[in-house]
Amino acid sequence: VGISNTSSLKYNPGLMNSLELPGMIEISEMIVAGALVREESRGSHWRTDFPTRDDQRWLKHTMARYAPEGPQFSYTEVEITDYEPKARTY
Amino acid sequence: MNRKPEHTDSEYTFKLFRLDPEKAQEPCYDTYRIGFPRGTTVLEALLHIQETEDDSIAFRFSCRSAVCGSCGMLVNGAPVLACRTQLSSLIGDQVLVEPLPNMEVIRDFIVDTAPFWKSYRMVEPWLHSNGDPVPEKERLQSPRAVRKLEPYINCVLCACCYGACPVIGFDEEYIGPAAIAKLFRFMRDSRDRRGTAFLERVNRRAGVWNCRTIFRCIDACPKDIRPTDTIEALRREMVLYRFKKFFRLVR
Repeated sequence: VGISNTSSLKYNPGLMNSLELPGMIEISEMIVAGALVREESRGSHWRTDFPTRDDQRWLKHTMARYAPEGPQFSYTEVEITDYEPKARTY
Repeated sequence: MNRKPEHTDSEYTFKLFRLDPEKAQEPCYDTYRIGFPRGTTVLEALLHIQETEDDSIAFRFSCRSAVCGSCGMLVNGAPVLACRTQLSSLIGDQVLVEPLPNMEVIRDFIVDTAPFWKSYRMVEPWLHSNGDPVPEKERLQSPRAVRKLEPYINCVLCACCYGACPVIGFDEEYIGPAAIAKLFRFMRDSRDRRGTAFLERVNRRAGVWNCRTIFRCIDACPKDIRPTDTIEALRREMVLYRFKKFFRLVR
């Protein structure tokens, strides 16, 4: 990405992309790191090395926090109400 | 095993409307000749050109799948959503991209949609319960009643019909197709209590009466809504309402 200097500030796509890119890289790192820890497949999170769902270990939310050395993960309980979780078979 | 022939790119000539009102009075057109594989949409092509040729080309987009209604623009003169228009669906290899008409250009394909939203607000596009008691859960509706509304609920507020309407071109006060279709949607809603009297709001020249039934809005709608039909229907309802009022059949 870059910013062409001939362009005004109004709706400047080069500038917008440049401002958004650093955040996107950090968020991407967080998503990938969180997915690597989660050794199972669930919904759109699909791993060829762990092709099945593992409720025993992974029926929980991943919480990510920023730290200068990289994303830090913790986990919280899933509150199940009317609908029991089940496999998507479509 | 039978194998499909290798995909070969088709070359297109893109002619892009460029205007930055802070820098120039008059628009100019930038031309690019680029090959794209079958299935490429106009939006994908624009993103590619923005990435590889000129990062200052400005356009709105978000969902890339015809639900957000952000990327309405003129492609070869027709108001379309760029994300649901494939290059291969165009006749020939010329791709002329311009902003939607009837609105001021902010930059390139980005127009000021404020008048479109002003019209939209005018019909109060929310449920009027008019004192109906608030139910504990949702307001229920029969599947049959929902089906009556379904075509109109699909509107993604892309303003393609607003840009297509020739009447707005000479009467900028005219409310336009989308707002009337939305009003029709609420008038037909079994839960809505606004009543026929609400039609007085669009009972004026700049309301339903300036439509010339040119049907451009029907051609333009990416969701196959037929706004002209709703304008006609509300006109009929209004005339009937006046008669009933005259004969004291309604208040």
